[in-house]
Amino acid sequence: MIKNKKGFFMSLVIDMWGWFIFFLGILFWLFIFMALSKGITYEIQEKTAYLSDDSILLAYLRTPVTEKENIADLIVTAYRGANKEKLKEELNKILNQVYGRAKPVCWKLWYYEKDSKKLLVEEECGSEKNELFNAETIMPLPYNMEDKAIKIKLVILGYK
Amino acid sequence: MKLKKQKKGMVLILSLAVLFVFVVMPMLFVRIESKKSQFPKTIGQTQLALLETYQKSEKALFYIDHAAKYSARQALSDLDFTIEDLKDSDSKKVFEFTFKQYLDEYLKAYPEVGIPLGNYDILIQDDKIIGIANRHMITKEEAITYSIKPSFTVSIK
Repeated sequence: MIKNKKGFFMSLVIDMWGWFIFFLGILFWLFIFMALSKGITYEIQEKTAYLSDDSILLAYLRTPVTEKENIADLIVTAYRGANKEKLKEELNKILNQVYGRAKPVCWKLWYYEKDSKKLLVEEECGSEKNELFNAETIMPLPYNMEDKAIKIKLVILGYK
Repeated sequence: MKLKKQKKGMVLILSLAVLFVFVVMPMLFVRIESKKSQFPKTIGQTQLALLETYQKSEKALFYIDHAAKYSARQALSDLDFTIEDLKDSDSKKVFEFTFKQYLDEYLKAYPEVGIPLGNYDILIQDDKIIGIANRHMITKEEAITYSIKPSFTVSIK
C-alpha cells in the first residue's frame, strides 16, 4: 500500500519534531508577550492645550479704518500719546461686531516696555468676567521713534 | 532520485519551525519593543505645532508689511522724494538703496523668526512698492519646518 515505507516513517518522525518545536516555540513566545503586555495600557489620557488667537489679532490689526489707515496705524498713533479715543472707538466697533451679543465686550490693550506690561487703551469691565480672546504680536514702529518695534497684547476680558 | 526528493520534504517543516521560532518571532519582538518606546507625543501635539508654525510665519509677514511701509516713508522723507520722483531711474536706484537699508534694519530687529536680509527685488508700480523675495523665510516648530517667500506690497500715498 505504501511505497517507500522507510522514507515515509522517517519524514513522519521529523515532521512531528518540527510541529512539536513549532508548538513549544509559539507557546513560549505567547507567555513572553503576555508577560510584557501586562504593563502596557492604551488609555488615551485627557490633555488640554491652547492655541493662541494671534492670527485673529493680525486680522484686526489689518482692518482698514480710513483709506490710508488701519488699526495698527491707530495703535502707533496712540502709542505716541495721541488720539487714544479714536483707537478705542474703532476697536470697540470691531470687537463688539465679533464677540458682543446682548452686551458689549470689555477689553484691554497693552504694550510691553522691556519686560513690563503697560496699558495703552481699555474698555472697562463690569462684573461679568470671562476671557474670550487673548493674543499678542510684535509690530514695527516708524523709524523716527526710539524703539524699532513693540510687542502688543489684546485681551477681551468679558462683557460690560 | 525519489529518496532524495523526500529528504528535502523531511527537513522542510523542521527548518520552517526553527526559522519561525528562533528568527521570525525574536525579530517581531524587537520591532514591537522599539515601537513601544517611540511614542512620546500626545495626540494632536504635532497638529497644534503645525498651527503655531503658521501663526508664527503670519506674524512675521505682518511685521514685514509694516516694516516695508515705514522704511519706504523714511526713505522718501530722507531723500525728499515723492512717489512721482521714482519714475526717474536714477532716483529709483537711490531710493531702492536707502529703502533696503532701512528695511534690513527693521528685519534684523524681529526676534521670533530669522527673516533673510538683503532678500528683495524692488518694483514700483503707480503708488505701490512691491518687494519680491528671493529666498524663503523658514519657521521651525518641533518637527515641522514651514518655509515661505516673504514678498510684500505697500501703498505709499
